[in-house]
Amino acid sequence: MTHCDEIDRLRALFGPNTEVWPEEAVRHLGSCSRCQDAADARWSVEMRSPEGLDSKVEGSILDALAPVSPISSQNRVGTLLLLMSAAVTSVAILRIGSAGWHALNGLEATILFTIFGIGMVALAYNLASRMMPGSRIRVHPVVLIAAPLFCMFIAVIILFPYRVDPEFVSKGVLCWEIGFVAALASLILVTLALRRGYPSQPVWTGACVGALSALNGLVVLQIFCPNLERLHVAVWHLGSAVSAIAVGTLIGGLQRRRRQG
Amino acid sequence: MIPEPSGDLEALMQRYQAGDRESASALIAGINPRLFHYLLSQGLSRFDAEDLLQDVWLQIHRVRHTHRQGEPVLPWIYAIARHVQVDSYRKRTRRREQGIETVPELRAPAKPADGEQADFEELIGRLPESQREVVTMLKVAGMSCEEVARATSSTVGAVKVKAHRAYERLRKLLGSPAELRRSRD
Repeated sequence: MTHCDEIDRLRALFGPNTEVWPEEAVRHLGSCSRCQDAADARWSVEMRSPEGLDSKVEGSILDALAPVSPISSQNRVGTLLLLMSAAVTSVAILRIGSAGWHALNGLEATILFTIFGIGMVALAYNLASRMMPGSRIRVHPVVLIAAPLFCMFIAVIILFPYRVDPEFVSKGVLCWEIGFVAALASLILVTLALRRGYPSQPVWTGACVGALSALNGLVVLQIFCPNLERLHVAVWHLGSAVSAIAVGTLIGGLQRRRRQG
Repeated sequence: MIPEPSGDLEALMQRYQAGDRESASALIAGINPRLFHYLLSQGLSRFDAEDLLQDVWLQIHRVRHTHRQGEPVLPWIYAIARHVQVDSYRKRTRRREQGIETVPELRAPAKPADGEQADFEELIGRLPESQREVVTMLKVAGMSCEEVARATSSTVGAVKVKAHRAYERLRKLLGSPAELRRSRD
């Protein structure tokens, strides 16, 4: 049997949040006008700082108080990251050519570049959001990182034919190098653009930076490389992307380690 | 005066970023009790919580430029606090592994004698860490599910699930003294 003093005790602990009250107590509350009248708005937790703590904190930070300019808006940073990726692609294509673009038919180009485009836009805006701790996470980074690579893998399996290539390794290593170098250039620029941020998940952020750069490397490779053989693209092109993601994750891990002293 | 969440805090934050000392003091006075209570609810002793609170404010001060205007302040602050707490724990664990320092034990919740009624700290201490964190942010700091999700880098759905499980557990503990005694042991 629940009595009014029991309700007072529950209210003292948890205020009016009856979600945690035993069912019997909730029933009592429903039927007792005395208890219904004694409403309280919040959990009655003592909300005071210990003596002198506020002034200690003020002493440690107010001496070094100077104006700062807040980081740019998410849209601005996201757009900047995409422009950087476009710049890396342009420079790379000017240096190594665009034979791969001419080898693709309309359907292949549309599917592949749509995958790259959606992936890069999603990653760029996610990274821009991650610069600020406590920002809204709409999609888990695993999805953002894995989805474009998985879609590309499926597209390659469906669109490109398989044939035996005696120069599978020598041609492949060249493609891997080009993709990886383009991704590294992008990774450096993106890291510089995000340097004012304070991501609360540095390893995931590093992986996302790696993934954005990896997609940039894939775009460069797809425009440069005319070898549209299924195994070549799946192993060497995607291999360069996986390497770039690994580098980004490693950098994120190092950053976390540095923060932890 | 303790500023209420949302509008007041955002205005104070903007002026703090602009270098206004009074706003910084008001922000500290407004946030400190909540942060202190949050750290206590994570199982730290008062001494460790005070120590960590100062580290949290140093970090907040260092990265105050990362708060974007128009975004809620509380999730930003709690995300940093959470991060500093995790970093501090890992740092101390690593030092212990290297034999440099002994990690202070997390404070065991006080065990009232049989028949004595449990207090808030004790009850909340019976919850798993992630549920404790969510309940404290929701019910003590007065944050919304959306704000808690932002602070914990999680989704609103996950926050609701954790809160629901925490309420169920608390309800069980409150409803049955025997269960509470069992969880103490």
